[in-house]
Amino acid sequence: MFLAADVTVIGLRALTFVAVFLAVGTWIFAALWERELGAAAAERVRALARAAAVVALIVTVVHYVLTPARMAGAFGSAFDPSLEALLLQSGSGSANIVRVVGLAVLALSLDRATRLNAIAAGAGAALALASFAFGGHTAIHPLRVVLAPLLLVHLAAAAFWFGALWPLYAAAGEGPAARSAALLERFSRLAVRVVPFVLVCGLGMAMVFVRSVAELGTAYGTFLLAKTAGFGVLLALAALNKRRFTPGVRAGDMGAVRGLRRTIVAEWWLIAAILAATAVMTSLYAPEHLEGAFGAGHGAEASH
Amino acid sequence: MRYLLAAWLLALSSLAAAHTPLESSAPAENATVPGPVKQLLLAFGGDVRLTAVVLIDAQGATKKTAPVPAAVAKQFTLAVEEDLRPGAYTVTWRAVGADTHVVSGEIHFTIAAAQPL
Repeated sequence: MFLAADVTVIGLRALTFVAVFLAVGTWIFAALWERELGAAAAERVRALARAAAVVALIVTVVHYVLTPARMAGAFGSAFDPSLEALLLQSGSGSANIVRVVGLAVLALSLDRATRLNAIAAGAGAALALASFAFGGHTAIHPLRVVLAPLLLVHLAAAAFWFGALWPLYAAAGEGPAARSAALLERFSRLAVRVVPFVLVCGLGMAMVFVRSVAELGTAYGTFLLAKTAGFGVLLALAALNKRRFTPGVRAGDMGAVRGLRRTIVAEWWLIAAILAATAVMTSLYAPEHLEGAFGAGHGAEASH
Repeated sequence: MRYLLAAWLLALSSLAAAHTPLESSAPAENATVPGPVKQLLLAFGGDVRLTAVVLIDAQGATKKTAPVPAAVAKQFTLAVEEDLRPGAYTVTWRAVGADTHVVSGEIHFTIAAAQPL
């Protein structure tokens, strides 16, 4: 029974995921490699992070406002006070409030590159990512204390990867080839250490949520398998960039630059699709042992 | 953009209704009941806030039921506020569970025609 309210609200949630990860990830890239980028490129990267934060902020608010419509299955219920109260008192309500505050701080502090702004932007980005641990399946699980750190590291590593793609795309075709290649190589060296945390923490959470091989056959398990397969394809694309195209970029081969840019675009869309799939998965499905179960304290009287 | 939108709608429309913690109902799913149905009972596996219940007949006409209560509970009873003729009916329900997870589903039942004496 999917209604227009479902399609709209889940779609907005997917957009929120993509925009938040873009904002936080792009900020991470700017913070790590601002000096290597040069003033003009660094400003463009900050501008992208700021624009993504503003979009994420707007979409988060619209998603929050329309969530009661999905709760009741009708847009007319968007301003139902009792549903608004239920949402506000839930983990999702807290998550949205923390996310909005984090994104606002991030957007405002990306205005100019000062030391104070850098600290504020870091705090805003951290809040925006941490907001995901306030709601959802990790928040209602009895093993929340284990799941929350796994989730946060998983998300931070994913944001690092996603946010680096556009700046790397831009850097690949700009300026001296040696400088572009140096930036790509520095990113690759760090990515080799950071990206495995996406898989390790994701598998850690999956082992808690999926308790048997048979559960991989459920809708929730199928989504997890699809996400894992997508991650495998991403690794293959990243390896192609590192082994084949980056040496070509260093040598000034324009064919390698074009190849690199194509695979970066493919990586971007694949990660965006995985983020959107995660939004759908967590909106519609739950791990088998949480299906139909309701965490203590979640209800009209819940407080977070 | 059109393709993205089409893919999104297709993906959502192809997904089965998820999170269905409805444990039992009266009338029960696919039940044929002999007499008049004066109330609907929905029992869930955990505390939920029931947000919508729509009762329709085989022609798609909506039958009036009592408003859903703004309470969190495991079991809900709603009065059917008009007489139901023999035939097939569908109850479409929606509820909000833990952490505002939306759960929904349908119950199908039939009211049997009175046997001639």
